[in-house]
Amino acid sequence: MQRRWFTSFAVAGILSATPARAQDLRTPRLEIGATFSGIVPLVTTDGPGIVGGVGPRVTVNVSPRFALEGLADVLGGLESYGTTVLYQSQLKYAVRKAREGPVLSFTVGAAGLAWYNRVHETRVTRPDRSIAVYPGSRRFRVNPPYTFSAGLAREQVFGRHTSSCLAVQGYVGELGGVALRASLGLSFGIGGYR
Amino acid sequence: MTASLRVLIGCAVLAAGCDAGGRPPAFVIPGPTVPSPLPTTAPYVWDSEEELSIWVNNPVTNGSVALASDDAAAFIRIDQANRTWVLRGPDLAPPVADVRTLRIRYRWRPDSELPASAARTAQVTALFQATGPVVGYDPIAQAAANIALEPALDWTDVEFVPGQYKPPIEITYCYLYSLGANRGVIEIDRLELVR
Repeated sequence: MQRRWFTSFAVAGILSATPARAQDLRTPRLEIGATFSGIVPLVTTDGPGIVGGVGPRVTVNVSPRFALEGLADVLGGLESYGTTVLYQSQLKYAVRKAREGPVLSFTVGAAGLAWYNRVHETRVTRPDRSIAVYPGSRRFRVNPPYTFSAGLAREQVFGRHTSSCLAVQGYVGELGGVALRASLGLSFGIGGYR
Repeated sequence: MTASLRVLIGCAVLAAGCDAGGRPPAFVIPGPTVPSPLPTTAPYVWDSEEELSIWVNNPVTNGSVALASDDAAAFIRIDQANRTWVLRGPDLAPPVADVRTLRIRYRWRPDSELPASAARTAQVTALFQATGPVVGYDPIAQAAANIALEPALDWTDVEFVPGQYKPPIEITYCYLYSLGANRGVIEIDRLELVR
């Protein structure tokens, strides 16, 4: 397993040394999209076997090959109250970026979890006719992004403004110990792809 | 505030994590009061007709509860034990400290026509309105003590067993509550705070 990861890193490194070519795809400065994902915890024994997520994704292309990406997945299938969100920021480096065909990128980043919970007011009338009042509340909690993520993304432009993204990432850290996330996304390039 | 400063603050919040909001403390809207026409002083025993009448005749007590008497003395009679009933004690002024539980003297006669397989115990709960929190998870919870009354044709003394609260506690009043047992008649001729 370790050897496979090492090979992946090595291949990514070698490919990243290739300079951008004239026929490279020109991506817009900003891409906005949505992602559907599935997360499989590999180590944790309790909890669900797979967690589904959906949420927005914003990509800022800072150079022809480097991009900063932020995404948030509202997770479903968890045994918890309220809404759980996986947030992630990552660097994306295009190791192959031709005008025709898919764009292969290497991603590395940090992820964390956030929670939002809204509780409605509860009133319990007791047998002695007193009323216990538990006021409603809203609570928002963000855990620091102490989960390391790395993976590969395959993007395919179709049309002038649209691209798809298929990504596989590994997670190590607080987020389920060791987990694997596969996602399928759709992005709209502000200004269009050329 | 510049855009980069906003981004910086956002990153700092994420890096440190944050926890905003939270539940305001719970509170209680008091129910009807039950002033005692008699001074509430030690030993906190209610067994005379006048004292038992306080438990029966108040706006909180409900169910088929009535004051009865035989040649010997007065007692509280719950003649439809299969229905919900509440028996509220008087307000204790000042609050009574060092209370461990409640003791009652009772008779419980399940209906003779009950099938042989029917349960013959009657679950009753004594609830105490404490002056402070009695359990950590719910600061406004009332202290509860429970008993399963066994059938008894003669007057029998029993103490309620404290539930999740840790005695002793300081209380302002207490009451008995039952969701109902099988058909039968419960009689109580004495109530006493155990300290």
